[in-house]
Amino acid sequence: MGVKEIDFLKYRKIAYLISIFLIISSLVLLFTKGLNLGLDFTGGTVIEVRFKESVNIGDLRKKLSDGGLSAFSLQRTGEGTVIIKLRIDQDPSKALKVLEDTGDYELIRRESIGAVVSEELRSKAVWAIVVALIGILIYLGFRFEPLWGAGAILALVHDVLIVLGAYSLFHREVNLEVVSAFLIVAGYSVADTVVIYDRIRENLRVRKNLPFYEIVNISVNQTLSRTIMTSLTTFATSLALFILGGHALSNIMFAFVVGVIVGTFSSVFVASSFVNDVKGLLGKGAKETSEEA
Amino acid sequence: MKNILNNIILLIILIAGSVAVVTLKPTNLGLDLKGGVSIVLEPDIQKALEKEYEKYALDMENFLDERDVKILDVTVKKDGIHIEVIEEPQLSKAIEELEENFPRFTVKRERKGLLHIQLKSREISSFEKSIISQAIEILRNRIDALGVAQPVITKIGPKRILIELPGYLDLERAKNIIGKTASLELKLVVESAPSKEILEEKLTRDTEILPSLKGEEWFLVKKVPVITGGDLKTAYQSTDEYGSPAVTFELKGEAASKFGNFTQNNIGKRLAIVLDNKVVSAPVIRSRISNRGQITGYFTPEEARDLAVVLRAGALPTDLHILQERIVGPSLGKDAIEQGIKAGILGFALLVILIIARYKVAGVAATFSILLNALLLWAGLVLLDATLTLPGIAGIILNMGIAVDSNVLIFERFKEELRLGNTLRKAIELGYRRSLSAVWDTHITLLVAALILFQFGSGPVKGFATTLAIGTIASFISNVHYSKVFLDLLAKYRILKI
Repeated sequence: MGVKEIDFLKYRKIAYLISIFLIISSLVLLFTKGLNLGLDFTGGTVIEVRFKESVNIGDLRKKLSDGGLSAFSLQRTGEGTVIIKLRIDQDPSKALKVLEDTGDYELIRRESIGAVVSEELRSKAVWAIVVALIGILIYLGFRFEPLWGAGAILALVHDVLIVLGAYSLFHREVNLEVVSAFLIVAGYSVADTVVIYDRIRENLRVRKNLPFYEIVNISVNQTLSRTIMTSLTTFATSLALFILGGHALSNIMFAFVVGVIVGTFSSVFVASSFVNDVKGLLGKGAKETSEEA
Repeated sequence: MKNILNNIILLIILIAGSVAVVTLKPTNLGLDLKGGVSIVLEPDIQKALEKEYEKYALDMENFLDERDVKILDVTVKKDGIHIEVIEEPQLSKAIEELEENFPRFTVKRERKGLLHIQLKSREISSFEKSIISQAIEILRNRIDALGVAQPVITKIGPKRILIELPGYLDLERAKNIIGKTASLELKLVVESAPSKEILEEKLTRDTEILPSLKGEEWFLVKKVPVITGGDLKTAYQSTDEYGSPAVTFELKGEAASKFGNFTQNNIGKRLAIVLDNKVVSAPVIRSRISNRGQITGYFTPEEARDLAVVLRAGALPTDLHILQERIVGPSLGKDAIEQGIKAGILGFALLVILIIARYKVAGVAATFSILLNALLLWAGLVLLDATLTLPGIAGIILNMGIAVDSNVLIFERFKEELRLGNTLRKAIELGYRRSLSAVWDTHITLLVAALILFQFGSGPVKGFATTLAIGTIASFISNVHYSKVFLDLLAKYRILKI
């Protein structure tokens, strides 16, 4: 064949363990620490300012609570600005007054979202994810057998869940734009899986006498250089944006930085291995027929 | 080879067209990139409906009265007009006539002696539409007075209004101008008192109780106004006799003569100037006034100026609730563009290094395809009048990364075919044909994701989705179609190395 063969499926048990560990940790994080939801989903007010002279965050916190605010959070960004987040029931004018009194500042942005919109966006976000899943499922069902579709969806859920876990772990804000990034990561994950599936299907036609296990291995190997190249290029561009893109962009790109890594891993080890193992469990179909032949 | 020639000609036209579009038409920058104010509003349709019902309640009452239907009580609620009547033989006929004379309404007999009158559902939806378009029209007039270049005032979703004021940073003033209903009414004062309770005993069917602006005084006034905002010819900032800021208004001809007669007949009485259901002032009528009046209160000069602006533009058909508001300072966008460009250049450089390192001359061809992809994407965005937002920049750069995938898929397959002993030209052909289905799949999954994002329908996410969708299509042209043309060309001149 000319290609160095790596027996990927041999390592699938270890890969399963890694996946299960990551998924469980993500779930634990999501249920205990939760997500740092952005203004889009919680409602309230965000004020981002840059003080002319540096201000102590602790002092500012005290001034804000003295100013009559009870539910707020403060954060200093990498670009030296201060972000104040107020819960929906807090009066933003109080915060503005405190800022006036604290010192000269430049307003970077200020945004308020009411409960109607945030609730709507929350449900829209959930819907978008559900619709995306259904859309991808229909597409896969149309292109491949149901079992393969299930494998692809499994890989996708695996990827998105781990990316979510990463957002929870690093307390990064999940806003509308990040949710869009999740959807693109999902699309990317499926595309990655589909490329390998495509090859498996082609090999099933061409090499009828090989066991399914072998076919999967050959296919993963044949597409390996593509998988690595594409992951590298996507990873390189998203990493550039993540590092240099500034606060808002890097928050979006974090989804890709994590997503590309887990996506590459899952398309090799989750989707194809899953199809192979479930096929083995169900009537041992592929193996036996090929042994007879 | 004729095929290649045609393709090259087409390519030149494509590039020339794109460059022309990009240089001639300015790129729309989103608010997050150029700074400004954005506000999302929702008209209070319920309140407007109630007002509409109120307008008809009196007419219907008179109508039934004329037909000898004994009315016990008329109440107006959000869900319609409720009329309590004594059941009499002529009632059924009266209801029939009522429906005939007020064709926009349906009359239901709820229980014995209670009529429930509602607008037909078709009428309600056209009423909603007219409220929203009226509101947009008036907002446009008001915003004109702010002097903002290229404001956006548009309907989003079924019943919301989006306002974007690029480059404008005074959110408070914008809210004052936009959010004020500014319904002006002049009403005759019956009595005033320091508390509401005293007046409540004297309340009749044709009077109502209104608070003063600061709430320290209450007024019992006639329900039907003498003059409304619609009777104004113009309004402007002025000063009162003590030199304090005030707003002077002038009346239209017809209203002026009506007002003249009214003031003549009511000399010595007080006239309440009511703005958004609050009494701003209640001066005593000293003489006949016909064509002009003055509103005094404790205005600052800015308040007087803005009040004149909103009165000139006219009252909104109903209250507008602010659902979302945003100011983006000028530095955020500038920084974002700078950082985006820096990151984009680095990302692209990394991409090119990776691709040329692996695919040599073919990698150079792929670099051309990616550049072509970016150019087409940009031209597409400009052509569709799409707005470039911060996530949009992310979309463009990400698109470059993903677009490479098609090249990679094809090139890898092409290498494989070469290894299997095919000739160069045959390997190109087979490589393309055999990787095409995978290329299709990756493009379609991304398109599906982008289309779903469209349903968010607003602002930055839409920008992201647009970028991604156009980028995916552009990628098909440049990275799938043209990258093969480039390879064929290179193969023809025997400089293809991979």
